[in-house]
Amino acid sequence: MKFPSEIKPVRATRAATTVLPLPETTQNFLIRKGNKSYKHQYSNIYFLRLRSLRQSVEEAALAKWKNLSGKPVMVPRVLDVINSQLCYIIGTVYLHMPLKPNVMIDIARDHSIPPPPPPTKFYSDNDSIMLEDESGRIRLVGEVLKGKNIVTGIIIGVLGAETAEGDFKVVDICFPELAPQAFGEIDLEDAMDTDGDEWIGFVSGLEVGKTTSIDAQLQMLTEYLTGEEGGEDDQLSAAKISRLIIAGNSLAPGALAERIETPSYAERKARKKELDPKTFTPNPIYDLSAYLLDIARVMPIHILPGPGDPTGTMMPQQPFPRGIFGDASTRFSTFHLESNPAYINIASTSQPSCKRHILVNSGQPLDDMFKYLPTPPVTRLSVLESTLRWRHMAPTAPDTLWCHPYFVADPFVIRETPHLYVVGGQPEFGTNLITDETQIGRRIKSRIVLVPNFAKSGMLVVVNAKTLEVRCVNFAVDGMMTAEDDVISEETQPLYSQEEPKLAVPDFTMGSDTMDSQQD
Amino acid sequence: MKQGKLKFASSKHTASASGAKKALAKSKSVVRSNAEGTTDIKEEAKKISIKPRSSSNSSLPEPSKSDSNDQPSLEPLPHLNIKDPRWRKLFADAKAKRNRQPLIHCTGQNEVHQILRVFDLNYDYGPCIGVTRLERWERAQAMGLNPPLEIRDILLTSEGVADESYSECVFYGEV
Repeated sequence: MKFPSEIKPVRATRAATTVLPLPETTQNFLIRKGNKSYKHQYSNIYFLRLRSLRQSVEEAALAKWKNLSGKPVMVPRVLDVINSQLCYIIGTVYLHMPLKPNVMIDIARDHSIPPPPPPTKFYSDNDSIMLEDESGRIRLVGEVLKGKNIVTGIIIGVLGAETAEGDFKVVDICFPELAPQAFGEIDLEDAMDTDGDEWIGFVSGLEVGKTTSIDAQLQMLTEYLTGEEGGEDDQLSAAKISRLIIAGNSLAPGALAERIETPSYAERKARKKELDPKTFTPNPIYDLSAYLLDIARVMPIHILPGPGDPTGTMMPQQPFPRGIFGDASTRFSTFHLESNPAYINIASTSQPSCKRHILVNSGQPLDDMFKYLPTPPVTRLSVLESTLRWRHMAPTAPDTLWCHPYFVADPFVIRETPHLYVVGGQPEFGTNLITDETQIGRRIKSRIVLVPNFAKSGMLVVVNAKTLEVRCVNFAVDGMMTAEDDVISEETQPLYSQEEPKLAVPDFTMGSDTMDSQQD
Repeated sequence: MKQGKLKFASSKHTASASGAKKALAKSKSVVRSNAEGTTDIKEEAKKISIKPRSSSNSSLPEPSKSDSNDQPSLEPLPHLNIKDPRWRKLFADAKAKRNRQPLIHCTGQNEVHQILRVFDLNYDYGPCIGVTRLERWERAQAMGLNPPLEIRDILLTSEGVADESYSECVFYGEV
């Protein structure tokens, strides 16, 4: 038995990482005076995208198909393909989908009845895939296309021959593949000594101001991050988190959304007490600012706007104005207001040569792309991995994803594969480490992470900046109401399909200690 | 809504023959020395082009006078010579594009109009609608597509910035 004098108090100091300034070549998502014009047509974006990615597709296609027996040649214009000659063409994909929202059908419909709800999936059996470039478009047919993730707007190369009907029968597909990484090759092998490592925390979907409030979990999260909660182990592990990145949906989306969807049992129950001051928050931004002030006092925060937040709806969403969070954002220079999506460059202070290139967004591109693909075979994680192989983070912009009309460059092209690619606002957690080798022998490693909604899952995801290892911290309260009508009694394991290896294990759960006395 | 008609500019561009050669030599040095500051020129061209846009319905102001009023600090832009030998190759390319067939609705269109129209419709430099020709040229140059330098010379003459039929794309006002 240890006497109080023998127990040495542990002094934990917070791990620190520094933000590196972004190099000039990194795409800037801020819309300034120079590119604020809305006069341009959206076709410029497709032209720029094809121009910037065509070179890499050509190189990948040449490497892949140059040694084939049929000696395929590259045809520069899509419409110049010669009948039954093996060749390959490069262009932009366009998916013709009858279920996609169509402005002509919208105009022509019967306006006396309310509109049908927007479909969750555009995918149907009547879809046709076209390949388009400056000259025109040609229809692609072939069994090879069914297995691959293909959405509108990606640049691909296809090998095949023209059929008698004028379609192009595809034998093989080539993507630009992973772009070279910033800061050279990274070495993840030395994962032995991880004690001094810095971790980065990611959370998304705090949804302050919702009718089903999650104040308890938010309070627990704040206390965990500031180190006020839990025992010694919890404090030591919390001290390792060097910064927090909030990936969207910090405020609950407006009441208008609830009119269309059927409210869940929890929401209906809460709405019965609508005028109850305990559940009705007149100004959720004050509540959010209070939490953020507590966290901002101890660690740097990066906050991104999300689909439900009060900023613009067009991608890229502009950062929150600095004064919106009161003292939290104005008093602390370590409070960074980022655009959505955002590139963040981090260097570790314990090992300054360890630099990481992080790409974060709040989930709109992934949600939009997911509508184009059939769900049981395709998972969100596989779509996210595909975006890295396509070298484009939001190919469906500007078709179904609202986007700013760019004229000089398409900023969603991924020129350098990020070390860490985090997407917030997802229904479930998921992660994968993608490794690849380029033609010149360089190894590319990228960790992709799907961060679930905090309001539904209570999960904080922490990533090791050096080894890119992922851990989840779950905040749960016994008897709390989550997504549907169930009262959760234990954490649910995230579901994985057979393809993705389950690399991250939820490490430790924080049950609410104060509730123990009230438990059965 | 009244349907728009095709506009063929009927204003006459007086290029004084005596001062033409001197002006050309001067313009070459002006443009080449400003080659680095392409963004400056773009903005200066924008500043110049804003003024005639507002008075698009009225007849054209005197080109030389408007220059000296707007930008007293910069040198006045040279005049555009339609028969300049520098544009000969571009005009030959434009004729080849239409297989030397005679033009049909071409009243009031001179050789420079044809050259600029072929530049507009060349999809190598991207779509032309919604931007001025100079902006599109600058973007093509920045992307490394090597657009013909003579087009920029044409667009940076006094008529090139003041007259909408030169500065804006073919579809301006129609689409």
